[in-house]
Amino acid sequence: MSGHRFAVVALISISLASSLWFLLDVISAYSYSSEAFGVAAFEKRFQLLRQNLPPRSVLGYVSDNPPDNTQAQAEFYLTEYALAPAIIKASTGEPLEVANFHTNTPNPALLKAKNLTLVQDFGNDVFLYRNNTR
Amino acid sequence: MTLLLLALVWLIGCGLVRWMLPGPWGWSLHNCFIVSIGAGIGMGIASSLYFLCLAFFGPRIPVLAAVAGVALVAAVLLGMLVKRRGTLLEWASGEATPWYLTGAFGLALVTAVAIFVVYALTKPHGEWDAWSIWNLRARFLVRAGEFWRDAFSSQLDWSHPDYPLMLPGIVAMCWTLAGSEATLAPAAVAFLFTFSTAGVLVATLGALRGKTQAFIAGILLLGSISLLVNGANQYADIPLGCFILSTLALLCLQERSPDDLRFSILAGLTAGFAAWTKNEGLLFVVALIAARVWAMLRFGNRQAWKSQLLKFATGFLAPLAVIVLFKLRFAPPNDLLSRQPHQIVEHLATMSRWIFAIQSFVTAPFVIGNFLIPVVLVLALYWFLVRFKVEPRDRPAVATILMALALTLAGEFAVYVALPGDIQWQVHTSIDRLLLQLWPSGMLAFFLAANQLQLAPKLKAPAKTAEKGKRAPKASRA
Repeated sequence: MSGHRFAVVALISISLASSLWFLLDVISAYSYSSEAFGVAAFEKRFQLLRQNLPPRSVLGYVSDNPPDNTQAQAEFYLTEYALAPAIIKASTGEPLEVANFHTNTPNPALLKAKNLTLVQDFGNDVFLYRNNTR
Repeated sequence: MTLLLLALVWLIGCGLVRWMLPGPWGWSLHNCFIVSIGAGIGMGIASSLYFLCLAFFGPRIPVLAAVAGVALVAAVLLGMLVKRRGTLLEWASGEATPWYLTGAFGLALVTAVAIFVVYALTKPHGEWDAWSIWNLRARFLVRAGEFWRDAFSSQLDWSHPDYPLMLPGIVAMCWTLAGSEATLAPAAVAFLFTFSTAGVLVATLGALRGKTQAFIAGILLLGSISLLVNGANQYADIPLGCFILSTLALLCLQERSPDDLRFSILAGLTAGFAAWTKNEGLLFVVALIAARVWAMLRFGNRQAWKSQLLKFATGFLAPLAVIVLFKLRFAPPNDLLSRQPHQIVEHLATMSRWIFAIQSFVTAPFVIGNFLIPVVLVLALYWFLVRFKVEPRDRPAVATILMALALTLAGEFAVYVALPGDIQWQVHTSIDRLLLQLWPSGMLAFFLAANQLQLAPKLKAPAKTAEKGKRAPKASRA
């Protein structure tokens, strides 16, 4: 085999092998994919709250996620994405706070520390709180 | 409805490009190029019109529909009724393309489409940047109604509200006119950009180097896993890479047809859309202009550079006006560019930032494309066996690409060192995508420079004693 043919065959073999290998990975990932965490799940969870928000709402945000965690950051972004065009701020400095919890019985100590009182439970661990320090 | 809208947007681009580069109807390399480059140009035009409609008339669907309709009719009429003749792109002459290469190209295309589709089905909303930046902005534009300017609120500074609107604009336009926020819209936009990148690369190399080099480059690009994944993730780096490639491809074609300056006009338009896609696109445009002038003066026709640059500016003007309007009237300041001078000086004086940035720029090319084996090693082997031989007529084109990419990379390097607070986070989250923006153009330069291939087995010279018409012995036929 000439050098040129070897170069071409090597290049296309590696390229095709890489993509076929990845295709198998993608197909198996698709077969096992679940929507427990993802945009669709967030859309569903926050749907009721979004329908009840007035135009140009600006809300604070509270979560039971550990701070400075990638998952916590992703969930904050997904909350904004689900509730757009409301503006969600990553703090509890607003009169109203949206709560993205992972339980339907939030930690009372956390709520007390942040001076939050429940306005409405929207189900799916989504709550709206009033900030009493404002 | 979404697909129909995108098809019409595509038609706008094809009509305009066909008007600029007229050619006969039917299956040809020329029309493959038009269809490929027309997708990006159509989406660039449509998103610009969407933004202009919002800026001047507010969120009025009838106005948007009328403007889009007029653009469509005008582009289609221009494309269909054009009479003049222009440069016709045809496959460059060369030896016959082996059957296995054609088959491998077909397999690479089918596999790439399958990967994209299955991946997009797994993540219909795309990945992190899609829902925290691009589609989030599109949602604001569509959902906020008369308060659409909230999309650029400084309260959303974490989502980079200063980023230009090419991608959110086309998605929002589809959602607005279709009347639903179908996930198909951003996914189909991403699909068009990903595969039109491959189309532009293959068609350009086909015209400049022939079918064999074009198919090899196409196989390598379609095998670049990170290109497909980032495309399906609905990241803006793939559209930006598509516009960068389109610009450089048009300038390469300009070199082969120096009298037809319409290539430079279209290159200006695609360069403008690169800047309308991401802020890095502005850096690319500056780098490109410097690179082009240098390459023309060093290798090209010294008399032609001014007229080419003028035509480039003509094409660039319309997208530039849209960008200026957006940046001056709507976009908040960029988070990186709003650093204080003393912070920049402090960053520049920190040696560890330089070392980390250099380290990252050296190691990042080894993972580009996510091949089973680092692609730089594969390309190094290819170069070792095939070597480079740049024809004199292609030197300005190759020099333009290499210098533009080098200056863009140098600019990105300077940004990494000087601006971000946390350089490690900034580099880790962006350098692979930054290289991916330039990867298709790098491949264009590589295969433009590669030596002519000799793939057919060499035939043995017939023996002097052999009689004419005598049957060859079995052993020699085996």
